[in-house]
Amino acid sequence: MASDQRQTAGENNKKGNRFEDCFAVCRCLKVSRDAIESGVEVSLTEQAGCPVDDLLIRRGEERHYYQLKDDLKITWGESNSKLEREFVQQLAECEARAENFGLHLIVSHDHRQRSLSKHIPVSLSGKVSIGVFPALDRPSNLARLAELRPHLAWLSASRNPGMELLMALVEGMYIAWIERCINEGGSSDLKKMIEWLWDRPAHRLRRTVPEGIHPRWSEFERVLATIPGLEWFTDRGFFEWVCGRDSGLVPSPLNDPGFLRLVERICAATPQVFEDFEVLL
Amino acid sequence: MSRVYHSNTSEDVRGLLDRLIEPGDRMTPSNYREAMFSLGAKFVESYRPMLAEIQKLLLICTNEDADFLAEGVLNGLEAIPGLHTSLACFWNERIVTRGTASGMKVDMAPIVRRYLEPGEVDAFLVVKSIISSGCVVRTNIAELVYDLNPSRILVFAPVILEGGQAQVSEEFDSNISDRFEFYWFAQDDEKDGENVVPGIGGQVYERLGLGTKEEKNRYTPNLVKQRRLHPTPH
Repeated sequence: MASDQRQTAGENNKKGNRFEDCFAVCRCLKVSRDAIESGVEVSLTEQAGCPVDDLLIRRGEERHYYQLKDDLKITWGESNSKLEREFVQQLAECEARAENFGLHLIVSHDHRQRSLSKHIPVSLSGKVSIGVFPALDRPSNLARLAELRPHLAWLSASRNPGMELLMALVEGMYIAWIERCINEGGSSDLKKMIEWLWDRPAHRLRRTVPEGIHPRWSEFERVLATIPGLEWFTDRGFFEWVCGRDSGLVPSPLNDPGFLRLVERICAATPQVFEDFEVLL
Repeated sequence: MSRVYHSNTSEDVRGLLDRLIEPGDRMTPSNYREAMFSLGAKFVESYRPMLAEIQKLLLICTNEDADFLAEGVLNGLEAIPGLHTSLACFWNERIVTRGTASGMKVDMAPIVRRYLEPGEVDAFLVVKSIISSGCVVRTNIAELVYDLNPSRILVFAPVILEGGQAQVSEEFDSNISDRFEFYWFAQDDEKDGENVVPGIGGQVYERLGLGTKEEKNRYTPNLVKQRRLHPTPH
């Protein structure tokens, strides 16, 4: 369970921060696969000093500007059409710079999305996407968002992750996000966040498989192949196994000395049944 | 330091709880195991009518509790007609991740192994020797609750730290936490480092003779070994 000790100005700020933080973490999780597989550079800036400034995500050459409203009554016209003016101004600035950009208004309730979509000012029609992101009580609830599940399923160290693994992953990304915000004055580098998580394997973020895991790897796999019912997987940078009703994930990644010692124990003991294998874990 | 006993806690049970906190030279691992087993049996004895309302129960425990406290519970449950009990056993690590700049921390109990018998269930019965931060209990419930969707979630621990129930419940939305029912014999209100005082006399894996925090996860309970051999629970 994550506990946030940051100082905030009060309950409303805390609520707003949580909404914004959870949305940012959700975006991070959604684009992490690209960052890992393709090396796409992604950075996120809060309060970016532009008209639409709650969150600016730079993804390669793309710029995405987000205004985030956890507000039951938000309209285009309130506060002398402040929201409309911000988007109109941002649109003008982006077009003047000939940016590859997207403008996004994110609200926390379906009825606000419907209303804001229906009453969108003519000048912004077709230029601003209006999406819904739920206000979550706690960061770990990100693991239960249907829109995130396929992304988490790819990012997990396990081929078949249970809720515990997914919660550990989103909580890890949440802390990585908070860490980067504070350390770098509001600008976060997704690559560094991923590296932060890789340094903490307990959060079970998928890793690339190291080349040449162990000199006795072939022997290790030959031994395992003799154990009836045992299946194992290493394609996510961890050693995961299943045997009937038993399953597990070795907490040390494949390149960790702890896992390499397991390889040596298995090669030395040559277990031929599961009961002899499990005592070596 | 003060201890409060539940109104259902008998003199016998108080005696067993007192034995747990005796020092190691007087309370060998073997004696400690017996006391834990007996506390499991006493739980079923104390709450038998409530348990008899359930038809399909999933008993959830950790590998260190399985052969002792959980086995005591399971033995008692077998005597309840019409109750079908399946087993989930988890091997948990304990890890704290801290953000250096933010001061933020995550208290985690990652599951490194599990044994899970298949099938639908009406209720969970989570059995844990002690609930302090509630992290292990929370983790193991979260792992299964969204898939199996039990209508009741019973949590039994002989000793609980004051506030432990809230620590477990607050991780879940009310549609889940409303299903929780906590059962305990004694409630303590103080911790000394990692240990509840007097609690269960220290770290359970050490008192049971299962070694250190790292070593205890190499232990495969006999309960799991036996149940692997039987397609239907014994």
